[in-house]
Amino acid sequence: MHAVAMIAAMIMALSLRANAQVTVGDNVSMNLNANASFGYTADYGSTIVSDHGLNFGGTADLTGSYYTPSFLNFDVNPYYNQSRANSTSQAISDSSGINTNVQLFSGSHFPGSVGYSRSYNSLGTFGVPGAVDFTTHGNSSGFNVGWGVNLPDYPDLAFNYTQGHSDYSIYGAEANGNNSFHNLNTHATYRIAGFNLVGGYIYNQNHSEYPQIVNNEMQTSDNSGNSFSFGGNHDIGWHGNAAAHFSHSNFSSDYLQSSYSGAVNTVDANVMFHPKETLTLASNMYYTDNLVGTLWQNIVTTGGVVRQSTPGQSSSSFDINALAAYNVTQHLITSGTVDRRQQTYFGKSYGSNTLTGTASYWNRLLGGALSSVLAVTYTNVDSTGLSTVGLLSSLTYFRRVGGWELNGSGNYFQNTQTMLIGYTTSGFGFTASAGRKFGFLHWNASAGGSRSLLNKSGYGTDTQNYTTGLTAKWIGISGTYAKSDGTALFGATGVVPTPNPGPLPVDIINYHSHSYGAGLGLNPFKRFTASASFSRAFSDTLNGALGSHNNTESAVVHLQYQFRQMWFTAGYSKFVQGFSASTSPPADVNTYFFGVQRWFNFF
Amino acid sequence: MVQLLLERQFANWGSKLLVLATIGSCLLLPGTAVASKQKTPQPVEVPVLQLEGGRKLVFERSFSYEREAKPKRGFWNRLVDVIAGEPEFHSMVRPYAVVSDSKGRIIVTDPGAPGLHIFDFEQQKYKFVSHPEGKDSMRWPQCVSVDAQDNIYVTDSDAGKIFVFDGGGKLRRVIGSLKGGEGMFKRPTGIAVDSAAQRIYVTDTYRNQIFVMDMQGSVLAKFGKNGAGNGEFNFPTELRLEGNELVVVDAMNFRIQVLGKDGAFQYAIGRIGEGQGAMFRPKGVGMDSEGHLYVVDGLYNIVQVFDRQGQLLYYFGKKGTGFGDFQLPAGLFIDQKDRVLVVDSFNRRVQVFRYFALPKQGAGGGL
Repeated sequence: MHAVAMIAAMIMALSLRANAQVTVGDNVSMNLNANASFGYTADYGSTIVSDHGLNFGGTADLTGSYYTPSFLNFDVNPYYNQSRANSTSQAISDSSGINTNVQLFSGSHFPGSVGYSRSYNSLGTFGVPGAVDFTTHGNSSGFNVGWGVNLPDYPDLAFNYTQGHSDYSIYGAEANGNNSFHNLNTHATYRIAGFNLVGGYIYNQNHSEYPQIVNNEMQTSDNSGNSFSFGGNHDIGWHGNAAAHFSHSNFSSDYLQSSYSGAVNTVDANVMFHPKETLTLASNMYYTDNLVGTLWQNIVTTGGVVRQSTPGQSSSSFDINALAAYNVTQHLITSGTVDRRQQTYFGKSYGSNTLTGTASYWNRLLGGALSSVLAVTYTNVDSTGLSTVGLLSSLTYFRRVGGWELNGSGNYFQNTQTMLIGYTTSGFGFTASAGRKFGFLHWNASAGGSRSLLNKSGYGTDTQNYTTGLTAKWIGISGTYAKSDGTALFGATGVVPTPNPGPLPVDIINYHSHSYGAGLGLNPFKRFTASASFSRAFSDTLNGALGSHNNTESAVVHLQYQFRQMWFTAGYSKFVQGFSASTSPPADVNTYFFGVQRWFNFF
Repeated sequence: MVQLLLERQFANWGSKLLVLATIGSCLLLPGTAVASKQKTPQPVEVPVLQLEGGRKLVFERSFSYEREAKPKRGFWNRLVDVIAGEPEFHSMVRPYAVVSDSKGRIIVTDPGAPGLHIFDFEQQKYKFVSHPEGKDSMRWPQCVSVDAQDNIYVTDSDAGKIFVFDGGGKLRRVIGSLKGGEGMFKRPTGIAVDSAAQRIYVTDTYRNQIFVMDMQGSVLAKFGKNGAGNGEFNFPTELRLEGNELVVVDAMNFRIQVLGKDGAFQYAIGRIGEGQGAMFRPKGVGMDSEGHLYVVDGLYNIVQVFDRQGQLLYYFGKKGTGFGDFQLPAGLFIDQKDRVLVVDSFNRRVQVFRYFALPKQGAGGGL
């Protein structure tokens, strides 16, 4: 009976074409197109109830305007039982939802917009650096409203408010997470007497519950904060510019039964001018009265959390530098910088003086194109009296040799100072690629990697990735391999690498991952495409004493033939995902699908 | 006196076109939404420009996409249309030049597609011709001509080559393709084929020259150089062979030069400026059975008609989207039946007019 109803719905959808041309009033113009699909699907697996049956889905897109698009325009996009992430063959989960957006008075002095979205059972990802992301499914909603005031001779104002909520679970683990947020952002700009003035106010609030996937306890964090800022700049002589900026922010955090709150005031100013076309002189100054708070903000912005409350000692940072840059030739720029830093954190004071010399060179060389940068720094730290020499270099070269296209780049840095005096970082990175046409075949390959090490704390990351592909007229194959090791922070969207964890107590995750995959695409005749892909990823995460061995595996085969506005599709997908730290067995979902889709352009 | 009379008639005709355009916009065009309170369709009034001595110029039709050349769809086709949707019909994207062959087929170059649209209204057929792959890919089909066997010659101003297709649209050869795939010409635009003499004439706009070749592409002669004198050019573009005369659009000298087949200067018409008879963006050119010269002006959105003495006889067109209106008109071709084909480039269509000369008045037949 259910199937009969589906078939009836499909026939009705097909017959809509003849009757769907709607009356268009004098002031309303609308376009509507839709995609309806109908097919058979069967799935079975370890974490789902095996079933099979007829399936109906569809999407629609209604766009239009009232009076003129500048006065009011809208876009409404509902979808039902359509996989929005992986493929149209409904590989893992069907999702339903709606996206809407309305723009008002966009051609006037008071433009505004309102948007709303909601989705059910949609796919998402939970990331581990360097590996294929883990797959999640869940629900989400979002709402935003924005308004602007752009009156001549008055300050331009912009207001934007967004809020959203999402909850999800990770396939293969009894791990659920959710996140909700509110953001208010106001911004003003004004130009008067040659001054460009800016100011703004930001409020944000965030609540997250983290999935128990690499931690052995359910964790919740609440962050909120607000900030206001103002500043301005003015052109000065010698084609120069002077700018200054002030901001004040308050923040509070609750995480693991500990609270942390504070305020940060920062002031920065810079001046730059060009006495000659080839000469640039500049000076910058930066001051913050809460260096620890600034570090905390960096971590939270990246997506991590700070585990415990920090000591209450005051902290500050002051930095002033002067720069001179000179274009020696069209291909060579040299510059020199003098920098003085003074910092106080965790009850100690630090000071350093740094001299930096930089040369940048680019030119055509040996039939190719070369660009390079070399910088040498000399740093003397007051408290220890130690002096260090740092280095920063990069080199890029591209050349065609016969039928080959070769590209390579590398960079190396040593003892590069981070935000904190006393913390330096070193590392290197490289990329290389080659491509060549062999008759009707085109082959390409690339490799890349990087390694970084924060000297004092021993944090670092190491990544490698390799890809290759071969394409002919109607066929293409590709393969990838990636490997990643390092330390990172735990956040709501996964494990996120943080460049400079510094001395703050955070949940450090040691991770190791590697993944590989292959793909095949075919287009043997017009309007027919076939594709197959396979990927597998393994990762190990270690958080204190809790370790987990994780794997995810995906195979998808998809066939599609187009006849006019109909697409005949067939597909198979296999998905496996599991975590050894979880008490749940790995998820194993297999799906077969074949069906037909029809696109309609109603009006 | 004659000219004044013609101009007055044109003014009346222009206002009539405006009315017709309004009527036309009220009628349902393919692909437009149905109005809620639709009036009963009225018969389309065909614009006619009455000229001196009983001559007249009649608007016949305009066309823009494949379906207009195809036969009316039967029951089963329409049923499949309902179930699976209509087929994807080709349509003009940025048409530039036009020509018709001995069978009455209309061939339109379309750099935006890029390719050729071949409309055969008599046989109710359509074909799209392109050559997108290989070292001799057709990138920017510009101007077009046909020979006595209905082979199609297309200049590719970007690739610097000439593509020769047979009547069925199959590529036969590429003229001007050098070993590395580069083109021999800097910017070939206008082209004309003299089947009797087995010669091909091509304007190379950047070289300010006209190349004379045999049918295989061997260069036999070149004439012209940069300048403003007789037989000199400043970015020549469109080219037509009318009898024993080569009609060349000397674009940046704002004139039309008429040369002998050997390049000898015969006469020139046109001048830069505003007002009637002046040219600012001369594009397509053609000659009717009475020897009147038709020149498209892309900026003024008109077609001006001159006699051999350079006197403006009349003009037609104005900026717009209605019947007889143009937006960035480009190519023009006049066939043996005095049908005047004008490429209305920005409106993505070709408009067909028919000139009724005195001796042939009443000759029937349409598209």
